[in-house]
Amino acid sequence: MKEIFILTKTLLKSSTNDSKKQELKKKNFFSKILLYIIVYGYIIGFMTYISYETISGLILINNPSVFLNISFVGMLGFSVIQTMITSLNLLYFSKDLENLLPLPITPMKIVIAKINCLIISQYVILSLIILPGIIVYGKLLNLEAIYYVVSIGCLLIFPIIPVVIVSGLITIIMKFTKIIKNKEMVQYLSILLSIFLIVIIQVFFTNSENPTKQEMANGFLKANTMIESLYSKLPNIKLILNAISNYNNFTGLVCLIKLLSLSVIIYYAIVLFISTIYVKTVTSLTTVKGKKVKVSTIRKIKSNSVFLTYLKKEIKLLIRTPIFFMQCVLPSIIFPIIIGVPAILSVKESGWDFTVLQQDFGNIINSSLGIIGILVSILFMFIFNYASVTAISRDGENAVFMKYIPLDYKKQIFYKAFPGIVLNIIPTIYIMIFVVIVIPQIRVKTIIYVLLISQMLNVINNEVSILIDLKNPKLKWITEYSVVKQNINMIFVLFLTIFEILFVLWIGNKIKETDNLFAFLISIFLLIYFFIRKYINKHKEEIFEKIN
Amino acid sequence: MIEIKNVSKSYVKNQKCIDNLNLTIKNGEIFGFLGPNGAGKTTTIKMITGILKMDDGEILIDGTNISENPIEAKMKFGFVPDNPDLFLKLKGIEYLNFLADIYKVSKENRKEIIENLAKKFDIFDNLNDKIQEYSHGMRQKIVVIGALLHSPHNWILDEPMTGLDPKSAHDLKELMKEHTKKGNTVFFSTHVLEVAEKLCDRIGIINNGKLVFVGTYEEMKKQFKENASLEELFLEITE
Repeated sequence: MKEIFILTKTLLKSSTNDSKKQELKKKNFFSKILLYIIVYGYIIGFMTYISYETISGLILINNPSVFLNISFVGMLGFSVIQTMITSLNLLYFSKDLENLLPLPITPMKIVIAKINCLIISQYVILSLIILPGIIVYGKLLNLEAIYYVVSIGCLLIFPIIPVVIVSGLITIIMKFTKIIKNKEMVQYLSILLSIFLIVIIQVFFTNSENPTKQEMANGFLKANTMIESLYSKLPNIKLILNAISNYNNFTGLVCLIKLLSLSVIIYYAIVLFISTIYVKTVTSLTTVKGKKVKVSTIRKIKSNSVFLTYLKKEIKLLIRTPIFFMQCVLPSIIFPIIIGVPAILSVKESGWDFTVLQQDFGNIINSSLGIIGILVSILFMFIFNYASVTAISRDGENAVFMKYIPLDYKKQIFYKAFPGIVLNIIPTIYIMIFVVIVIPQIRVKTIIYVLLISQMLNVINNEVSILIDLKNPKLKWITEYSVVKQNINMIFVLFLTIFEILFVLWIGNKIKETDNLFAFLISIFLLIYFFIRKYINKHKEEIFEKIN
Repeated sequence: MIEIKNVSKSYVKNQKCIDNLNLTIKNGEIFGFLGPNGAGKTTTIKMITGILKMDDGEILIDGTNISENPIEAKMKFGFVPDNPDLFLKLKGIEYLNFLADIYKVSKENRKEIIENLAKKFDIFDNLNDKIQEYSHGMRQKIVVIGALLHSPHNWILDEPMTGLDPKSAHDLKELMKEHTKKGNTVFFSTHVLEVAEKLCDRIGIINNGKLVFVGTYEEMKKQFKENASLEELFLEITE
């Protein structure tokens, strides 16, 4: 038991800690704590607001308990998708396996420690996403203190079943599917499956864009009917909801005990199953491909410009690492579709006359309002690009390479930012094509204005993202998944882009004439870029200080 | 030539991990840098290569100051880091092409050097494979080839023998000797005292951030014990 506790603690520590020098840790301790408070505060605040609006709407139609049903079933779906990727990486592809397997620890203890880590990571997510809603629910319905105790008990038991079942399924797949003996193939397949599930969920839950409280509540009721039919297949959810709704009587307690017993039984049964085949499965995985095509090495010796060779290296590393590809490349390609298609469908479903809509937008598209509207849409898509903000962290301990090659740091920052810049061009193209098709009245001048301003911001955002990652790099990581997932730097990119959106909206409201608006925005962004480059040039040594 | 003049470095205030280090590695010599774990070997190498900033002093590579003219200075050495797990998703040949482009090695020169060294180290047929598929020793070899691609005057190697099979270790030692015969410099850290004893023209021993001995093995014996082995002398100096 003690061994499992120590192992779990070590795995958790090594997945979250950077191996920075002790004094640097102390120096940054308070700023890091403050940062976590801001980030978690932001997410909790947002979830509290959403929960408040939804529960208030459901109270209006006398059905607030639907909120809990939807929350837990939604969370179950989220946990399943997330565990699919995290457990695959933590159980089978983490760097620590080379150190753990030779130790005199039984496979069962390794599996338990790893699964505990997965469950604990789920607790963090639950505390951010579900807990605020549960508290708001209790407050709005004036429930007694025992409600909170039962709910927290349920939350602690909730992730056990999805985590162990998904981990068990992944172990079966790893064991019995011969074609995926190759690590990268497994990761690409899990990505495809996750995207497929996300798209299904997205289509399933497509609703009107800005629902009122009433519409939101009705939507929830509709979904709830389907969820109730799933109850028989999801006994843990049924027990959780029964325990919470009967928190003040004996039935609630019985449900809680049943839930705990069921979870413990499933936990140990699946852990035992995984343990029996774990070591054999892990050691049979390989990165070597079966067939090798002999290509003349001499023919492959080529020369390129420094920019091109650096860029090729960055892109190859990004694309050839499935997890990085999924987290940094795919969002820019598929998010505009995932967000855009349901939005278009909902406009269509709302019964608006397309010709009237085209006419209305045609009148404003070439005005300052039109330019700002398109700009904001493009900027919104930049939020999903994590290529630059993780560019240094992704290199891990190899990042030190940047410091001993004879290449100016200023140039390296631009080269590192370039893949991110290219990725942001993709949603820009999507949006521009969409606008040109839907509103053909758009003038070439408007298109040029939008493209110039947006791409100026694209360059700024990506270079600033590199600076952010250099300021707080995560160079020691155990799984590739954690580089992006546990990278708090992403929140700065979110804040930066939101600030830019607000700034653009504010200026658009002040300057109505399009030429003046363009001249002002492009000048101000060019000036900002000039100062960024000047800052990099002057402080490059300090900027790279943490890479050593 | 590598000149280290009055160099100091501390990670924690008032606790120097390198204390006023003075050292000159002359042209035409193989210099072995020894010391117990945590003595300051890697920190010194990191300062020489520009990875770490020094607090005081200066380091010159063939007369070029690494702090003032880093790009020019970095062109003058080839560095083999202690960890050979570099860019594992790249193929061996892609890694070498990348380095050759960075160091501006002409296509003809890189062809000759890659072919020559890869065949010498017996990894020519593996250059089209991803580095992640290489063994530790093969990774070490590809990193060594990468560091030598631009034919630098100065070789700086951090534990270069780790993971190399006897033949490759022998080949690397021969390469070092050939390199210094042409009037160039080799500076390397090692824990293998036998290698230092047989290969190095001079040895430097660092302990607690201070250089406690610099000279030939013979000079060390004269200074300490006449009949002692390098291992015995090393233990006496560092304990």
